[in-house]
Amino acid sequence: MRAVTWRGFQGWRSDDGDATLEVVPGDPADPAVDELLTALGAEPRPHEVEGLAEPLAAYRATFAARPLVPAAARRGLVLTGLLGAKAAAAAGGVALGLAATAMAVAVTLPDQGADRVTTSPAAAGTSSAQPATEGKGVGPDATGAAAFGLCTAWANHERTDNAAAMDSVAMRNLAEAAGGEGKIAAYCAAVADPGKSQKTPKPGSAKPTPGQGQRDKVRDTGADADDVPGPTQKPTTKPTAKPKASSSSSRTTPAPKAGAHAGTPTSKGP
Amino acid sequence: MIGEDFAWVLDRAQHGDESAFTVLWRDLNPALLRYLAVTGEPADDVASETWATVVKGLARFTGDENAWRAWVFTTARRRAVDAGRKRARNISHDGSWQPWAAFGAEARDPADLMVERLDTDAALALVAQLSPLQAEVVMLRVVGGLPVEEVAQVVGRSSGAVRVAHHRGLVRLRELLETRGVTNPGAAALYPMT
Repeated sequence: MRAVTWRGFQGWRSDDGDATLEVVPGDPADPAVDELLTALGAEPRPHEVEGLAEPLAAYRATFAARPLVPAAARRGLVLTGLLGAKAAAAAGGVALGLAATAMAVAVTLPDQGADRVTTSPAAAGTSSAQPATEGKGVGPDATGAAAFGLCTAWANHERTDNAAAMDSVAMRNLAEAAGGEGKIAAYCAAVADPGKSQKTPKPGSAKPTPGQGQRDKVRDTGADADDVPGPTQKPTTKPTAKPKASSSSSRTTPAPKAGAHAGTPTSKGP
Repeated sequence: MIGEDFAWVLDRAQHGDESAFTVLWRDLNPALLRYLAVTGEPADDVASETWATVVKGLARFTGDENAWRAWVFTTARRRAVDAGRKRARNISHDGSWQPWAAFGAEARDPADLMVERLDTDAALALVAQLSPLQAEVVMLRVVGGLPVEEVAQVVGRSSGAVRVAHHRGLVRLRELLETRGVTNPGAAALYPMT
């Protein structure tokens, strides 16, 4: 009753009050309450985003000591867990994500790669005129005969969550050949075992030509260049990549946004 | 909220990607601290214990972002209750401890904290004056960004009870604000129940 009586005053007193009431029916809307709620949810204060060291140390300790259970088995186990059908749907999404996710997200720290974002579309554009094998000055050629071995290694690293190994030059080459870190699974699916079949000498047959792939990358990175840290692909066009360039292509750097939606069907909950 | 990238970030965090974990932490820690601030327990300590627990269970977690937030807040609530128990034991209370009894215990007079605009601390101090359930529900809805159903799950009450507590909490906040002379004094004078 109180709120109803009071609402009358709001309607009588203020157009703003009326508008708020329409937007949030049932809430005792009031400019002062709105202000309070806004203050409650205000942007983080500095002290609220300090103190990461302790949880991060715990995170490191936990994930370094984790038993090496295959990811697929782990996901299977959790299906019997807490959240019933919701969990099942989510786990399905995660599995999908493994295959198809190549997503741009601001996981890197703000000081990283800002300038690289602006340069990479141009760099990728240059490389589209060349075969995709550019940059193989270090590490094996992931588009050639080494692809099968690299894919085997990649699957192993993925299974064991070997972050350090994922950062290697070989893995970066593989990501580049696949057209992005998130496309490795799809790329490797098309790589034939040389011991079993000689029909596909080059593993690019299941996807568009390298030039096509490069153009896709250009489009993807270009679309997100405004606010997304550097993509995974190597931005340089020369094999003599500077150390700076390779360190910026760390595994945690987001890949181009292709396939993003396939990887997040469950991110919007019921 | 992380939004549509959440599933990807969570997946990376569950596979040892520290940057992804950092994203999760930065996204939720401020809300967590604010939620804990109205419980009366030391927010920093309880948040620390909360994250320690979350990290241990992270690899097994499944669900969307709402489920993730609900899980973290549920964990925080348990750790806060633990802290309340511990505190009650340490001061050898008469035994009738209440986990949320410290609500507003050391609340400063919000009027002292208010300048022209409410800052976050003043707002938190006001919310801490609500009943424990109301304060929790308001914080989880407003700061935690949780839907009613998830809030009900966190606090262990029905959705209806959560809706009522939310509404009453907002009404009470308005009353508190009016008492402090923050709202239009003319309307406050007309308000029959003041």
